Amino acid sequence: MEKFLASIDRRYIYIVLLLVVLFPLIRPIGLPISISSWTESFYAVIDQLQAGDIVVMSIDYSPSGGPDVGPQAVAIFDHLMAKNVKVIGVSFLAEGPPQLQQIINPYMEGRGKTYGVDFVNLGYAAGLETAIAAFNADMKRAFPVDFFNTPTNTIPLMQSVTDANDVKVVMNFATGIPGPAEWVRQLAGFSPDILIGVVTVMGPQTEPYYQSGQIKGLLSGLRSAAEYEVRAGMPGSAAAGMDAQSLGHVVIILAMALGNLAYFLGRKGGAK
Amino acid sequence: MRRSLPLTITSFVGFWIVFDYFVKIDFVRTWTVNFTNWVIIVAAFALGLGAVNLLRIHGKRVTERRPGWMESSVLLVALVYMTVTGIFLGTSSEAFLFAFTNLQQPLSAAMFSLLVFFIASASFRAFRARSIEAAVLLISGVILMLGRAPIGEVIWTKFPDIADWIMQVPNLAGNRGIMIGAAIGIVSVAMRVLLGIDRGYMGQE
Repeated sequence: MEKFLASIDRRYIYIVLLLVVLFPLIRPIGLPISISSWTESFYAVIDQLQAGDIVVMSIDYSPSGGPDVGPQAVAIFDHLMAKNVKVIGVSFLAEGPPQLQQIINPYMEGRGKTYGVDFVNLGYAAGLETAIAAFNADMKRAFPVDFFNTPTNTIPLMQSVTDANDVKVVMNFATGIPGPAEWVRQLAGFSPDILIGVVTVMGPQTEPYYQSGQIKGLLSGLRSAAEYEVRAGMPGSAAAGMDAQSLGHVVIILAMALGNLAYFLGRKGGAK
Repeated sequence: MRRSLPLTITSFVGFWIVFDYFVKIDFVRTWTVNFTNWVIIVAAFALGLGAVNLLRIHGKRVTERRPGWMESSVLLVALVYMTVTGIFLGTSSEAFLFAFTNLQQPLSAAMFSLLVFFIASASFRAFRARSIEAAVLLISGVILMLGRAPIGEVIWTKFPDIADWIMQVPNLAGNRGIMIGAAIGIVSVAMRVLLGIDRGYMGQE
């Protein structure tokens, strides 16, 4: 038995995993999605915003982490647009602006929203944490032009903001640096609430900021995006991916169990 | 002079920024904003320097046909294409976004997604309860996976609660300890840099 388990070719595991993940994407199972306290807190902060309030969305995730973090940003942006909250989009990662543009593209033409009035993509500023500090201190100086090279001092939405105290909420969606730590440090002394969305593996290391109250809400990976979609009553791509993720987890747990079974059987055989 | 001038500038600007954090004086604030904005400009130049360095290293590898020259040539073509379209047409141009959306984004996502297969394979071959510590890690991992996936609460409704406890108590304690330790280290290094004791950022003597 242990010889059989030990000799299983890894390619069989790959095939099983692939089939198990593909199946629910083709035929969704519809597993229930409960809402965690992290997501509930995040939702509460967004939900209490009033029409006309201004928030900042900093898209600082790499394209590799996009499938895990991107759906969070999409769900939040849709919710903000539904509430008529105005969004200033920025990025301190070079790959951020095109991804932000993908999020706001559905609203560029139609849906009753206007670029520059309801939302804006300010583009990218180099300098990581120092650039964040510069943005918080004077947004228009840190970003003299937007993603489309329009001077920011001519954009209607930017007329009512100078520094970070002029916005209600700052949200950071990140897969590394700059991320939660940089934003928490650089927003010390400013008034907006901080909300964070991170790739799944960053959730545990971001938890201390949430428990200390430095950030008011935390989304971690695709699961949190699915929770937010369900909580906001707008099921989307994240909720659809949850069945696949669930079954993927089961395969990995079974692989662990089989691996350990082989290990203990082998040890028992060796002891005889 | 070559060393004392950069050291003096670093010290002066560093202490200025620290001073601004603790006092609210408009003049100090104005110059703090100036200094931080200058960093954006310097960082942009650093990106350019990085690109030139990449061109030099990989260009040499291609011309000398050293191992990996094919990969280097792909990198150079991509670098030149993105740089030319980004600078001359703009990063919001169709040519730039086409390459980003159809090459960089799917390739990066695919590379990251491939990890799941390696994790599955590693979980079978390497994640063994060889010791008490490894067993604790294994059990915590399984509970967290079940607690964070919808199927976990279908199996047992308590899985999410136990997963939350692991996150909010042992994980939090460990992470907070690491963060506080790192913060003390950062303060120590910052003081060494500001006082001119640590000069590593200036390169070799």
